[in-house]
Amino acid sequence: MNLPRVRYSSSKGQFKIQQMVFIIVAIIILFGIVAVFFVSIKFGSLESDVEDLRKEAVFTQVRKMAGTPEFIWIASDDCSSCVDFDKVLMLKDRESYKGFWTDISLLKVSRVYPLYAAEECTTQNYPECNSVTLVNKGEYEAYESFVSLCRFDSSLKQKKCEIGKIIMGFEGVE
Amino acid sequence: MIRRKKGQEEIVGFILIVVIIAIAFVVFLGIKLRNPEPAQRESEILYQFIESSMEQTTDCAIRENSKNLALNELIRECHSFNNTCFNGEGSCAEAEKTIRNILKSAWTVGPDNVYKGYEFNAEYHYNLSSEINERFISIAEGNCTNNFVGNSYFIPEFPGNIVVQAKLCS
Repeated sequence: MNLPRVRYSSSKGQFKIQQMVFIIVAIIILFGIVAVFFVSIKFGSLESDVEDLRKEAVFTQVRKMAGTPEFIWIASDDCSSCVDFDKVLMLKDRESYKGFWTDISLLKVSRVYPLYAAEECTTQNYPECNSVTLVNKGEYEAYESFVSLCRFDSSLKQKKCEIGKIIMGFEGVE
Repeated sequence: MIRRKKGQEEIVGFILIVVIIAIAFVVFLGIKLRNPEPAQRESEILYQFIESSMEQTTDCAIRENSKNLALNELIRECHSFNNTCFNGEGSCAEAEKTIRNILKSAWTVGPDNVYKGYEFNAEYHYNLSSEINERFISIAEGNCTNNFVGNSYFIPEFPGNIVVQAKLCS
């Protein structure tokens, strides 16, 4: 059976479709570029924000050390940030506390203000000294947290608090 | 000839749309980048700093043989009575001096440092929703732009609160 061959003039229609496709593709690309640009600006700081949040969590953990029985100032009514500096000095070089803070490479309590000429505290120069180092095992990544270093001042005949820091170092923190 | 003209018109229309979108985008981006919103983030370490510094024992005792005030008590004294300390210094001046010394010791700021500047303010808020705040201590050092971390600490003082705010600018 011979069917009659019909020729359609489709070039105009094809051109129109082609034109439409080009326009759609161009618009999609344009909006795509805009979206990528916007997203990159919006989430550019996300990585540093995560890092900051992680550090804040570590600072909080370091601060918790101030609330442990070895550090806490109990003579005050309500001071969660107060550390008994006398007690910290007494812990230094105490045989029974050797190896007590496992997994900590550095544990140091330092005064921030006022600062004195002597850096490390001993029973001879205390309280006119700046820091008490309880643990120092070499390599670590250190984190610090602000606390109040309190002691009884015999000249003032009252408690005296000064701003200080608890510095903790951990080995191999990723 | 007519067909070609029609095609040209369509291309011109398309280019016009693209140009309008591009201009709108550039204008939006320009406004967004020119006036960036202050990027304050709450900082745990700053809260710890303010809380700990409020316990600092100052050189100010109001009367002979009375106890030396802690910084939060001195700030309260400065706001409510502004009495003179026994050493002759005004309570507000003594509070400001102590805060300045603490800030200077705790944070190193400058163009070459991580932190470019800091601000420390103490304001009295009659209530938390109140728009009228009375700022009575204001200390600033270095250059503070819109990129900073900050935190606040409340000292109750009837009928409102003294709000101590600190900002660290990077």
